[in-house]
Amino acid sequence: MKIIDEAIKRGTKTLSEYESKQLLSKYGIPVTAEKTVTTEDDAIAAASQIGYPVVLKGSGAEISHKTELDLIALNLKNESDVRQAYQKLTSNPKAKVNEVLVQQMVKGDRELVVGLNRDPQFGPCVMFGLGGIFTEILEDVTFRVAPLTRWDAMDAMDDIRGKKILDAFRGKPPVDREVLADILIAVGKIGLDHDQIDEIDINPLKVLNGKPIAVDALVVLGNGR
Amino acid sequence: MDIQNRIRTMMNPKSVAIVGASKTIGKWGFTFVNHLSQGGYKGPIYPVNPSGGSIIGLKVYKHINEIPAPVDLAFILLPPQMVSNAIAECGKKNIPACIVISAGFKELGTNGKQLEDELVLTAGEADMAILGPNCGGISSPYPMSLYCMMQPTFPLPGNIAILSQSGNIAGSIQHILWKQDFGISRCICLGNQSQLKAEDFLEYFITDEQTHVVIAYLESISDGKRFRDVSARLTRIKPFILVKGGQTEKGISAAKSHTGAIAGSGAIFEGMCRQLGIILADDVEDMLDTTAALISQPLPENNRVGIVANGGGWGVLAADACVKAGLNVVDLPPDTLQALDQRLPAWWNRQNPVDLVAGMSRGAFFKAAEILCKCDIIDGLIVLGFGYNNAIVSALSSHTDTEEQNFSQYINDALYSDERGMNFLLDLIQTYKKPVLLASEFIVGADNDKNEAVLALRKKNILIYLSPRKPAEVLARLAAYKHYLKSLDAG
Repeated sequence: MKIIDEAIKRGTKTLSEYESKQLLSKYGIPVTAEKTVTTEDDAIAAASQIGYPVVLKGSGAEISHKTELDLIALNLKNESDVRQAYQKLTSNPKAKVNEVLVQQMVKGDRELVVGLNRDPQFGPCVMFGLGGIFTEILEDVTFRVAPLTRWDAMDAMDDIRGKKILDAFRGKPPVDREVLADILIAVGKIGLDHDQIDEIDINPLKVLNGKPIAVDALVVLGNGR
Repeated sequence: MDIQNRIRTMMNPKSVAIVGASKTIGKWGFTFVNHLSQGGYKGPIYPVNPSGGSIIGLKVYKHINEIPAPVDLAFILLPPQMVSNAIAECGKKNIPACIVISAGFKELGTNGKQLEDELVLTAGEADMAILGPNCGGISSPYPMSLYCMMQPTFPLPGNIAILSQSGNIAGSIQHILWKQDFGISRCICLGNQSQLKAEDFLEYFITDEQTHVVIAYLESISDGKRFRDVSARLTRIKPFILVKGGQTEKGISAAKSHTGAIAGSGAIFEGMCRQLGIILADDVEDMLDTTAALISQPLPENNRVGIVANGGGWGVLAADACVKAGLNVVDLPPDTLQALDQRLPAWWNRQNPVDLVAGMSRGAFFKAAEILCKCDIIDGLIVLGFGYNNAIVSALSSHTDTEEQNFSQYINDALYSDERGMNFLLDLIQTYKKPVLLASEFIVGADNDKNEAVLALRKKNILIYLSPRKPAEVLARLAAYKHYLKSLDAG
């Protein structure tokens, strides 16, 4: 795949968030509307095209932990918010920002995680579980070896302690399990199709009106073992 | 060499040689001859040792080529550097399979690895099947009554196959099953798996008619793809229960994503087992508790459970344990309540668990179990307190009869009541095709107390558990396996 080949040619170990989502999107995984820009004016144009509110994320080579580096500006409601955020991100002393990602702001009502990992014995494995900060704190996740059948995907959803997160609650509809199953199956397929991909993190996979959508994504490349 | 044919010969050898047999009690070369003999092996045993003479009445041959008849299987207990040569000699005698008990190979590092490579090469040249080295032996009670393992355990022929990467654990499992009256079909210690591997035996168990349930202790998987393939085919027709020792070797620090960091925990193996219908048990005890139910009980259609308790607290604990295990303690439907109303006193608790307050007639106890079995929305039962009457009897039997108090009549009735209860429960399982799992404190000391009800049930391979947590967890595992099998049917 072109995105992967180019990244390998550049010698980078990870795809950018934008590239990562392009890849996911090619496999039918719903991702946020977003655009990469390098000027403030382009950022404004992109924001009005995507629709307010938006999120701005600073990105650059080898930047993978944006929250820790203050490279995310959330809930920007108008042009002046975007201008301010753009200036702040591009003058961040902690990281060299080459470009800025203008992204649809997905509030969502819960956060899930979907990932891919390569087991030395069993090959590509798909991870599913609680997302956001809870991924690290609770480690409430489960794995399935690719390829996943639909039953495997559905069974994985029932296999986490916090499975109630998928049900209707507080007036919010339940998560669309069919769409979620499609996503889990697709991530497994990506792993089988591309030996060069070592790991994938989709975290958070937010849920908006019952529909899962990839809000942040990271694809880690390896040596194609 | 057709590996499956060789394994079949290994499980059914018409004659056995022990190369490296010893007269010295305490040496493995003695122990293996002794166990083979004590286990009542039906074919000729040929101990081999250059010093000749005899061991426990068996003539010792000075060399493999002096054995006057064909040999189907040789056990090798020589120092590691002599093993390759012995295998070559066995090859010259057209022995199709060898089990190398000797240690001192790959498990010791580089030098041992060289010896093991040499051994595999020699075996290949001799067209010989090899189990081991560093192997604890095998048992195959049917048809030749072959017990040739490190440990002196002799379970009867049965339908449980044991596969173990640890000879120690294999022997322990055999011992536990033996003492609980469970029979085995095969017991395989894998050793270093220099040639024959776990997957070869799993493949064999698929078609082995003696084997109905497969249990395994494994620490590592050598061929992930083949393991998945053969396990998926096995679990379609026979339950496969596994205890996994050790964690996967994933360099956690090398991972760059959260997914990678979490993956090192064995969670991948757990997920894979669910995909393959392998029942993953926490430890050997859980494995055997589950095996006991799988060998003698039908699978529950679903996870809905009915509980019969003979009073108070145990019923409450059972309900709690069921919920924790993920079982559904269903509300009883009106027709079931009515049926119970007719059998039970007006003050019964009218819910699940059905609590038959202490002192109830035993007939009502078993009838309640039947009514729950008949209930459409109940898939399996947990029945508590079996063996009570036998226990009562022990407190009466020292009395002598008087005219007012006919002790012997009461004792006979009580014992008969437990026996009838046992047969009734066995009938329920047969008739309604639902598992009925039991927990009772009377299993503790049952042998000393001669609690015939408990012991007789055990002979029928119905294991009574001590606390209700066990049957709850076991029933949940059975339900999960059934759930998996149904997913296959659904395509």
